[in-house]
Amino acid sequence: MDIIVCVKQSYDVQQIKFDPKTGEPMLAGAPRKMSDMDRRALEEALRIREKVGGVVKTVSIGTPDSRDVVKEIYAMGADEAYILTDLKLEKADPDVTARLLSEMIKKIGNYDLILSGAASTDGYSWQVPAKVAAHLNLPFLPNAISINVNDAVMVDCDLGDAIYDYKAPLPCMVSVSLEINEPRIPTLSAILKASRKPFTEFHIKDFEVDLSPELEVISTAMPKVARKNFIVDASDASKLDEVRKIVDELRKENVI
Amino acid sequence: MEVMIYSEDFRIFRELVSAAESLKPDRISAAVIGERSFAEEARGFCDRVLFVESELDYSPSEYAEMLYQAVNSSDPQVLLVGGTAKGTPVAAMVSVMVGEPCATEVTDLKLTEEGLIVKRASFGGVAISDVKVGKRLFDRIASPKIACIKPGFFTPAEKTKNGEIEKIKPEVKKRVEILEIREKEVGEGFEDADIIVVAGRGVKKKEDLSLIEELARLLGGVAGVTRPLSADLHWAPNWIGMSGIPVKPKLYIGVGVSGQIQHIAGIRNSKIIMAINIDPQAPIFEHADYGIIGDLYKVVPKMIEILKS
Repeated sequence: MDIIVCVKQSYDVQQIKFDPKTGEPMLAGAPRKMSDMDRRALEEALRIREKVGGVVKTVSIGTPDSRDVVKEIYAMGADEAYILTDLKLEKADPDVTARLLSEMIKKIGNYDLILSGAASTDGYSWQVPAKVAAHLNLPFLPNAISINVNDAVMVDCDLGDAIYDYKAPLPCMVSVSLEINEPRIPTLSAILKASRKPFTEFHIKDFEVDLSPELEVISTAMPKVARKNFIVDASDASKLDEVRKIVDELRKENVI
Repeated sequence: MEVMIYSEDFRIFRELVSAAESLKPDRISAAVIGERSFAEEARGFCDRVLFVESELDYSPSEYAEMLYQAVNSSDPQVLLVGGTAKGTPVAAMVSVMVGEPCATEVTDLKLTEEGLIVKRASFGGVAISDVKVGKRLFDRIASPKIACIKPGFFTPAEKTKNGEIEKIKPEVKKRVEILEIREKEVGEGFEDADIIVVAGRGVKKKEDLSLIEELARLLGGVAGVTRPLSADLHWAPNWIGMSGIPVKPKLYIGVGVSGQIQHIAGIRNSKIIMAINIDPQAPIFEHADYGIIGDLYKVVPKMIEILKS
């Protein structure tokens, strides 16, 4: 079983600071981490390999500072990592990303199953896996909560109103949800070994892909809603009557 | 100018009608896949219904092919798709087929001389971005710019039209097999609730949710939970938050909710936000109009007592 996993080095959204004046995110030097759902896709690939054998490869694209993700990919146990980084990819939209990933996958060739997170932790477009599937003309199953492989692949997908149990021929593309598994934490020795393991770098010039995004982000800001911040302390049993003040305020607001 | 809409969910379909109307198009068309009764019902909301006859149950590859055929049977410049777990992958695949961009998680949109501009929830809903969709509008036949509209941001439209219905029956290759469809437990509906009381990780046991429910009932509201209580502990089938159900009630009360940014993003449009938390440093207090620092197991019964008296 040859599995290719798309892995993104995302911004760590929980740690992004927003400029208090403009509300814009301060991304320069912001902490990065492997995208949560991609990590689960990689974990799932490793579990499939442990069951039926095979090779787990990963493809990643991003700006040069996303190269660190390779170490983590190897520490978790992937066999081969492929990455394409370029400063020009800072503004890559889901189309550019999906096209480059598909081209990389074509170049690597030889795959039975392609996995990816359903959405990335920072971009949340929910588009890239569907678009990779469309470019490669593969059947696509989104939001998997379980995957079983034999000569075909059985995938249970959480589609909001129902769980759909699909059976798809190989090769096919599956995106995974957060609930599919609990990813392993690499051992210290695996982390140490990972930093010495070679990986393959692709370059923009290897592919004929137009890098100018069709989705142009004009501005981004954290919306600020002014709140009254009227807080009472009722942490002590003797102060429990403070609760009454808040109930009174809510009555004045006419909401209760 | 034609706007085409598609959603598999009728309430969201009506939200799309409102989103489409906000663009002031010459006509609104709707693509309906499979369900004849849905297509009949849809006539009341748009000028033309493209009814795609099909027996196939949902899978993104097949449904994308059918929606693509519906687009080609008309000439929309904008395609709006309900941004659900089923709708978004279909929109993304159609985007590749028509060679036009798709914006997702869209909460508002407008047409300007420069083209289609949308507001989208970015960084998981923490921030809002203004995004231009495509360099130009109207450049080729049947090549719409696409936007997936996040449910809950447009008011569902009322019936005002009596559109024509046109059947198409494209040849679609079946690519995957459905072994079983297991309906999920339907959670509480929050769309119309004026008051929502949400339980967070501060609630220790599933049985203790009854305390939150009692408070909600007493206020004439609805009780919900945060993501960890639903996705990790399975105490409820759905959760309040940007990754679950975004809400904007008149009064939101977070009980033992710390206020992770994605949760805050999903409740940000509430009129009044109130929080009960034992930790004075809990981030939710920054976003709250009213807050009570204290043990929810003492504060909530006290609140109930005051409300009853």
